Amino acid sequence: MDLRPKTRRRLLVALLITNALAIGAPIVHGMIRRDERARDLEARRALTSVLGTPDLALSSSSRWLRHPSLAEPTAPFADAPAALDVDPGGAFVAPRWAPEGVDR
Amino acid sequence: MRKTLALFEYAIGALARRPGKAVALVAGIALVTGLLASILSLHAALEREAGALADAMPELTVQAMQGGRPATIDAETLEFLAGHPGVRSIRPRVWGYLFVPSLGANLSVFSVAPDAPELAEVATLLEGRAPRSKGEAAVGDTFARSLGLRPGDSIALPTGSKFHLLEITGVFGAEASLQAADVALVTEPDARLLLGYDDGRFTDVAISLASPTEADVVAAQIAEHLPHARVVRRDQIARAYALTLGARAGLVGAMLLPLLGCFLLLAWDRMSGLGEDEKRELGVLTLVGWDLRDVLLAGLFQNGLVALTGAALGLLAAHVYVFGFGAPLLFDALLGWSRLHPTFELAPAWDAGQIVTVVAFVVVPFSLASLAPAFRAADVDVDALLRGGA
Repeated sequence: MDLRPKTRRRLLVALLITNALAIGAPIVHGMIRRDERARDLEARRALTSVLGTPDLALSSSSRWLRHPSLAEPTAPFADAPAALDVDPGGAFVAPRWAPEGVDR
Repeated sequence: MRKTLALFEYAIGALARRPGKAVALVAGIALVTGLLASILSLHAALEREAGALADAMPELTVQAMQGGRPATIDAETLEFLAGHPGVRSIRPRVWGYLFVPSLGANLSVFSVAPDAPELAEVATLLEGRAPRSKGEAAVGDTFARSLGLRPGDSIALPTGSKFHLLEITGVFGAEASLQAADVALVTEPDARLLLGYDDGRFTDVAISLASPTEADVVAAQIAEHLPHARVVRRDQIARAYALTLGARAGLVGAMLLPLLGCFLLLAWDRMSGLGEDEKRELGVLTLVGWDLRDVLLAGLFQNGLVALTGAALGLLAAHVYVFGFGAPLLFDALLGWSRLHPTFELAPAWDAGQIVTVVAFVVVPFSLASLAPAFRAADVDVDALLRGGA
């Protein structure tokens, strides 16, 4: 399909505008959502203080995934030290510590 | 400027002559970018969420260990911790997990003192109010939804062979779901009853220090005095959060490999050579007097437009998938076998710089991949090419 020069120019402009919108929309939406989420940040920080942990409630099936900051490093392997983590969520949330107390 | 515009227009025309191939390439790049951006943006958002809360946890948390497993803390340990000169205050806590057979799910039970100063702020996250006396509970939105609970309802939770009746005084809103989806906040006597703790025994101790800069020293002194204790430092947790949900996580690494393979395949297709039509087209350009620089630039613009469009559409699709639809499948994989799924209330963590970096990560190598074949094609025997040979 051969396009006339004017059509090519219009197509180029349309393509560049579409791309700018596609890249700009997530940036703008991100700024708006971050502002919205920041409104109750103090309350969520107070909840963290009450619970004593900032851990996210992603998994309620394994305590080492539910509370990685408070579970001891051997928690996933307490019953079988060389066992694989049976929870697929464990593939996402890496173990927090290597040796006890040492940052990875 | 006019020349650059003309080259861009030529690139558009060349793409329009092979619309099927252009659309397929845009779709391929959009898919690769979309998958990459979905994983990265979900992880960045989770990291940001946890990181923003990390400095609100206690400066030190002390747990007792026995046989490699957590044990309860006794009064003697509390006495030592409270008397340490570097400690401002201690808060012994009772918390743990309760399996609810009717849901097949674990509830995280936390005790709270009714006079805790933080509760006034926490109340803004609740529909209803926090527990004030024995027999009352505030629960997470997912748990409440699973059982159809509303403030004012009662629930019987299992305690061994018996049940313990609690009145629901509050339900956490969706905005707190990522922290409290499976939480039951109760008073200490209820927590002891539900979790089977004897009086005078605690799960762990939250410690507030007189001087937070002395966390290292105090933690070392506690560890020396209580050799079987585990001391969790707040600054360690804050640093570790940057790694826990990051690129080191196994599945993320595994998912990025095929994506990288797809991208290399697409780039290889560009580098490995051109079709007959494209070769003939470049031959004609050389014949009518285009110099090598213009031929290369036209190829660069052509691939750049394809890559930019694919990357931009992929990025938008990833953003809508993650923050519009709550990342179905990907978020489910993250949740594992969990039965109580939190409401997806994450804010995108990417700023403009990071988004542009991801787009550039796709566009730049893919555009540059066009240079090699264009360079080769510009140096062909034009006469033979136009007669139908290569």
